[in-house]
Amino acid sequence: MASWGELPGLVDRLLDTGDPYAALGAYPFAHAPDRQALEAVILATPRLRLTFAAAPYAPADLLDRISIDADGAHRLRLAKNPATPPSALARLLTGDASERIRRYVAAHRHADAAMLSALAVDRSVQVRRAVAGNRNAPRGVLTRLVAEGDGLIDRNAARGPFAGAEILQTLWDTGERHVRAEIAAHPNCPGAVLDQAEAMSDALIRRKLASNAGLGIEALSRLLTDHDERVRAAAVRNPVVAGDYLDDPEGEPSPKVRRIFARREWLAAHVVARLAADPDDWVRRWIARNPAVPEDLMARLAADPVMEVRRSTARNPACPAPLLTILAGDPAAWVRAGVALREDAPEGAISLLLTDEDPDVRAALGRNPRTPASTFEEIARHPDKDVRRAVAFNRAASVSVVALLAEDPYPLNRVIVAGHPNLGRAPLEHLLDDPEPQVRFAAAAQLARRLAPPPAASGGLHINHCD
Amino acid sequence: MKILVAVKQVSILDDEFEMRDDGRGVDADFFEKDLNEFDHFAVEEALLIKEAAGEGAEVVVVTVGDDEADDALRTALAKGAERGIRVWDDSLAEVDSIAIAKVLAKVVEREAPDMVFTGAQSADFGHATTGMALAGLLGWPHAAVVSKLDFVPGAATATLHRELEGGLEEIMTIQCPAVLSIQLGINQPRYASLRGIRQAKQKPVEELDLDALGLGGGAVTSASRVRRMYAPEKGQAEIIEGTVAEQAARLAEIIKELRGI
Repeated sequence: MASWGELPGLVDRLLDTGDPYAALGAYPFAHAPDRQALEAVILATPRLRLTFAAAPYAPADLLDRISIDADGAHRLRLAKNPATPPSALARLLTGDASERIRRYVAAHRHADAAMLSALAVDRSVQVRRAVAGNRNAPRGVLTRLVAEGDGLIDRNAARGPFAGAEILQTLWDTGERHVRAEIAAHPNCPGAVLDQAEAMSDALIRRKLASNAGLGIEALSRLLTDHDERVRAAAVRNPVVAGDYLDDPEGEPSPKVRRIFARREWLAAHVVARLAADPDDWVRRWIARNPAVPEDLMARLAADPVMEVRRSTARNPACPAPLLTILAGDPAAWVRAGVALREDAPEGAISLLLTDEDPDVRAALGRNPRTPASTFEEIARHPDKDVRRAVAFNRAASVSVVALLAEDPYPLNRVIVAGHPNLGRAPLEHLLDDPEPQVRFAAAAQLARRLAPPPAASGGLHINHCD
Repeated sequence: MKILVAVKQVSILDDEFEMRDDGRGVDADFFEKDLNEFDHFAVEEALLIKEAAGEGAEVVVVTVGDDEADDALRTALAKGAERGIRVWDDSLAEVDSIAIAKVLAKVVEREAPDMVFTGAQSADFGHATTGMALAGLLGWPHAAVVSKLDFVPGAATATLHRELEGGLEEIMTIQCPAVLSIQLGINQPRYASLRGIRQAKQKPVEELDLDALGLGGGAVTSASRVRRMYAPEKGQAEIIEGTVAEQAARLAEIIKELRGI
């Protein structure tokens, strides 16, 4: 393991080469003085400043640095960049910020309460609408905005997590159906409004109500028998509905609702049995993945004429080993690939699959840590780039196999393998000279990560990971 | 056997961009440059023919561009082309595709290839005229938007498929040598290996000016020029809310605004 003392050496090397992408990879791990030096490389040209101002992978501290002397084009990019930190957003609002910039900041996930309070009295209604739609908008701001009576502000405010019962009651009394639908689904919705929503003839409002996790089980059980299938589906999906309430879809005429039943956990045995024999393929596909399925039904689903149902059975965590061995010999490659992905597959199944030449099966074996090392090497040399990539994701791939992938012609495979824990120091350093900027970025980030001390031992070092 | 592939380094615009002060193009800070996507397919088609032909076959890539365009040539060389030719003169900056075809025609006369490929169009300007103009200047047969090709080096003809409107496909035979513009999807372009990329740095790229091609003294001029480039104002949309009467009133208001009443 290299020591912290080597990180400045890496920084020196990156400064010498003048590669902005590699410098960006190391930037979050560098000491403050080194960061300044790296900034000179990363932001060396107007083109690079524009590129990184818009890059969601750029570290927050770098975006903050760009915001200090940003012109119009940079400011717009920073306002649109989801990684821009609050400090930079606040800077964008100083001076004569354009309406576009104010609107993007008002909608930004990092805009804080102070910014949103200021923007809530903006002269542009577009900006105020964006504030109302921001999930950080505090209750006081929403109260002020709702008083305007603007339909789009109301609809946005009705979705706000900080909208309290009082605001929601006001909006319910004055809002159109979409606003009311949002209120019916809101966890802070007042009880009286919940009762009114249940009695509404508008199925949209009842559907949103049925999705509300704050709704009582009595109301939900009534919605489970609603005449509209979308309302029943929303009720079945609601996590409050469980146990005996998730009972018997025998009389359920809608396959869409039965599909949702099949995805729920803790189903009663007789419900599972009925769903496993459902005439709808998708219902059987979902129930075949459900760990509540007993072994005898699992065997029946493993022999289903529909290939996707057998695949789902192969992916079911509760599928017993003998059944997995049978599925390893399935005529459909997609089913065999489902078995090949399983770390708990029995030896017999894995052995059977090792000679399988289908690309899906090879890729699945490439991801499975139980695959023998010799097979990893074969897969890492496969002609299909997507099959080879499977090994790059496998943490069990050996040092030599990972080194092989560091020479892969497909750039994305080199990007992924640059982050592999078993990639040796030498091939990782070699990737710093890769023709692809993404690879150099990933390699420099991984090298710097390895050389940086763990945060607890860093003595106050601030490592600002990419957002 | 030699196939000449004309390639172009195209501009790929950022989502947000600004125009140059002269209003005739985009400020260079706001785009990246890369090998034209269509040209990846043209290069791949040439490489597949070369590899099937065995020894003695050669793929030569040519571009008209300044030294930044070397990157486009090196990309093609890394995939397996044998050598590159780059033609440049400052007078060629911003010339049209017909002028480019005049330059390429001289390169074709010099190289005497068995076939010339171009991309069906460039991804930035999309004129789709370079290959057609080149064939016209050479007096060679030409087929555009080729989606399948059966060409055996040395044969007097090639058979090809072309995509037409309405999902139609045309099969035609063409006399060789010919100029073919290659459509996306005709093959699956390869990625250059790292070894190929390293080797490409050592492969020869011949740099030619217009005098070397006998085109000095203002022989290459554009038949057209860009007067202005701009982003048209985007249309506006508005969701009209309220009661039916309120919606009708707002709609009437909008109609009056648009008609200037």
